[in-house]
Amino acid sequence: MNRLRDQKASQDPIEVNCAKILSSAEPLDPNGIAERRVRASLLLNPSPRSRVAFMMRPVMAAAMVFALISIAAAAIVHERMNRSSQVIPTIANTAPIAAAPIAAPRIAAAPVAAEPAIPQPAAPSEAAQVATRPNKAPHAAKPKGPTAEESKLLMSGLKSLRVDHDPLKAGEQFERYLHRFPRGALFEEALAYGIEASALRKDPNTSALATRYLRKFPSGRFRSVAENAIKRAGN
Amino acid sequence: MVEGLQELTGRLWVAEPSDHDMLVFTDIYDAWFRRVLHWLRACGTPDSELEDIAQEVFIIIRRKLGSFDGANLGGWIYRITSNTASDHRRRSWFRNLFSKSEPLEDSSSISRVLASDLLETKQARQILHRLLDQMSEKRRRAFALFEIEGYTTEEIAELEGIPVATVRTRLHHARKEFYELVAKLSRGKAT
Repeated sequence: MNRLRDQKASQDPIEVNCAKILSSAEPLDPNGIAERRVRASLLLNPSPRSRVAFMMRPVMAAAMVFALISIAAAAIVHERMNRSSQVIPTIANTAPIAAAPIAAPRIAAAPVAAEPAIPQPAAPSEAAQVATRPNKAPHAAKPKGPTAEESKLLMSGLKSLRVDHDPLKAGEQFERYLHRFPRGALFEEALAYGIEASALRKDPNTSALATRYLRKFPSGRFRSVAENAIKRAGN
Repeated sequence: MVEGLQELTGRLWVAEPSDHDMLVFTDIYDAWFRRVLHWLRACGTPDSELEDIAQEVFIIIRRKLGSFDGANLGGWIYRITSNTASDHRRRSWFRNLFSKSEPLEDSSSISRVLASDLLETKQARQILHRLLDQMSEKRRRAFALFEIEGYTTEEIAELEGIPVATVRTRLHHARKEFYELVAKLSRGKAT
């Protein structure tokens, strides 16, 4: 069998090209340098890779998989902790606003201190809803945010209560909200501020409102407000 | 090509693996290093990595020497070499997935190289490497061993552990493929 690389004198130009290309392969290690270098490396490393090291491969692979899973789990836990830490301060921020009104005279005595808190209640409650959105059931219906009309009605009630110091008007507005939006996103807030307004005007229905709140939101954010209202009404 | 094989195999069996492994290994290294380099090149190992892979091959040989059955030393070393080379090719393929590969010359510049009378060795070697890379592994091995390393079909058959006819068939197809690839490049020159 003839070799292509020997066809340099062929009549076929392609065969000549084949021969040119094949002849370009240079002789390997003509001076024996590579041989000496590899020999030295082998002598420097006299112990061949042990069977134990070979057997350790699956163990190492398992350890790596375990480490990856641990990192992923830690990341998930960290994210969840972050989420829960977002919820806690929101409640903590809203709680004083709700708790304060029960000490009605104090608010009345220091209206300036209470005023900066006015625009806040709607926003934190939204944030709380987003933060407490259920993770486990992504297909479940998302809690709807408040509509513009809901927010407007609640804000106007709050303005009457905190700025105009008109608990009667505020109570009417909160009552209107409760009637118009029985499933509204700000229902809990409206009910809590309704309790506050009712307590300020010393309405006998205060404890009924508070009981309604506790029945509807047994572990609600304004639970203490409702309980205080019932206590005061009892006194 | 396989001179001294019987002698080496005999010495291997005379020697106790635990006492004289190193001595026998040194003999094997001296006798087979150059051939391992040629086999590695035939298996498609780039010239720049020949030494590293050869070292890997001899580390494996030293480790497995105790379990060698003594039947065909050349075939045994060849199998280790080709397996190591194909492992390396697989690893480097995986590595190259994530690294930007160096663009090869376009076919017009290749045809210019082919057209020139003074074919530059480096460029020709690049073309050769590129053309061999397009062949299947079995055909490339047979073709490179026969055309580049100068082995006979019988020697290739002995190394690969296959019939001579199979080697000839592989060679026939590989040569046809190589010829067509070069013809395609040469046509690129005309256009």
